Amino acid sequence: MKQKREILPFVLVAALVGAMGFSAATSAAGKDKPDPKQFARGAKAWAKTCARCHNMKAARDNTDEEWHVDVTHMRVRANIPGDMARDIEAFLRASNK
Amino acid sequence: MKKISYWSVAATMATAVAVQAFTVPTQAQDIDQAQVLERLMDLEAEIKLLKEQLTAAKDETAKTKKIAQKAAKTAGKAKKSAVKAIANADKIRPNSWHMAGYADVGIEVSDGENPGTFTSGKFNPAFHFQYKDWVLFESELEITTTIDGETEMEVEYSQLDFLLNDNMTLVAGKFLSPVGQFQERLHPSWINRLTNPPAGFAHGGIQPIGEVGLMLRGGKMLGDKLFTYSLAVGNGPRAEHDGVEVEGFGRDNNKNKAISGRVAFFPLDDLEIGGSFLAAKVKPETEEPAAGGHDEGAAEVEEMEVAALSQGKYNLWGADFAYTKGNWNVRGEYLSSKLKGLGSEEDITGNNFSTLTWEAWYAQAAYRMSGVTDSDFVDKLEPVVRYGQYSSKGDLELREAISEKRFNVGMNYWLSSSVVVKGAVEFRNYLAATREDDTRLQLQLSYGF
Repeated sequence: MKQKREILPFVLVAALVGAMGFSAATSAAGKDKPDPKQFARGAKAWAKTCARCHNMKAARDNTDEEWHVDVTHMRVRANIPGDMARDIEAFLRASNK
Repeated sequence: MKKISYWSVAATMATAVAVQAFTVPTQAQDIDQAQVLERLMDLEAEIKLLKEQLTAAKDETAKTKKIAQKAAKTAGKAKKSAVKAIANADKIRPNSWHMAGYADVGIEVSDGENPGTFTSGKFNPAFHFQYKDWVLFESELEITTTIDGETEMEVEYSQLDFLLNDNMTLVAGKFLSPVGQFQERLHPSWINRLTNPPAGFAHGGIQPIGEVGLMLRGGKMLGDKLFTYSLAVGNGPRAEHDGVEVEGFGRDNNKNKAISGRVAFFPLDDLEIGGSFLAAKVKPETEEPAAGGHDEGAAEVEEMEVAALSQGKYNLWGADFAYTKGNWNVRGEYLSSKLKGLGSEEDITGNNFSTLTWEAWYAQAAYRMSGVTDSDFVDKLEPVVRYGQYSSKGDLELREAISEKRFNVGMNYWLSSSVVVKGAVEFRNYLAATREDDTRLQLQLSYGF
């Protein structure tokens, strides 16, 4: 009985991951379509969000792929909502050329 | 005497009256004409001026219209460029990666028990590997040189982040504790505005360092305000000689999982207010096996003896804030914890445990001087000040060992956004009479990459 109670949180988490996995896959769809307002939203979110902890690095400091991973890292670390993180990434990738 | 003719008198008077009557109106007519002429000239001048003004206004309007058309054209081009730039951004490979991290070196001169010394500092490489928008693996190592000259390497965190949806990520593995803000977000030396952590917020302090387990975290906009959360379950803390340590232990030693977390919201865009907690049970400390041999039988007996003792309840709560507007970076944090009921009478090592409490807090303000003057040099300066305290109650020996007040005042010079030279003076005031207060002069160069 005690063992079952120990396992229960892990079962719940596994179920949660399974359920959310579908939404993760579907939410990723359609993100490649350019949104003219995304650049402006991203610039604003970048200025507002990143400086809460550290100085802002220049967009040219990283390649597109590096920004893609770096922004995901910061999305997790700073609890940035996914849509806001995508705006920031779009701004940085459009500004590093 | 000639007789006066009444007719001639009458005629003379009539003539006089007539002359008078005709003379006056003629003069008045002359004056009116002059005034009218003058007024006419004035009006002509006014009309001329108005015409000139109208012409000028027309020119101005035409210019403004041209500028507006040009601005609209530029905005249109910028919009097209932004869309084009986003559309033409390099394609991201399904498996992508990035290396980041930081390193620092320094010098510390003290008038206390520690001599002046160069410090090798730390090298903390961090690796991030991402598969699509599904999962991110991230790990940071901390490589240091010990006092004896040996190289020491620790895993700060090693975690898999499953991006469940825009507002929820599941983290699994060893991760930095979500409790408070310093350890998770501010401890890298290129982010920390001073050369070291506040008292009680480093290894061996009250702030949990890491955890091994699972964590759900994310952020969501509620209206136009951001709300964030982190909720973790993990192996939890352990009782150590100097108190309770939450260092991200690889195994659970007491069949009890610790729960910890933090919630935060932003009443203003530039103001974050957070609250943290940790609840766990702690097993009494066991003796380390004697050097040169390990008696399995004795170890089992000891385990049984320890199992018979009651576990302590360890509870921690904290509050923090950060205000980061313009040149200002102001933040503060408070943590309080309590351990009670550990070992009914005394633990296996003979230490009598009553209720122990710990408390630590700091407040810090930094101001970046950019824009204050026209000088490039002054632009890169950032004065900073911090005050904090760390203390414990319930055990005199422990209290004297850790309790201190710490005041720092420093000046940073930012060579770039992530390369900084930090100079600071630190005043440490210890509670223990046996420990001399000391003043430290610190210099550090840090690079975040």
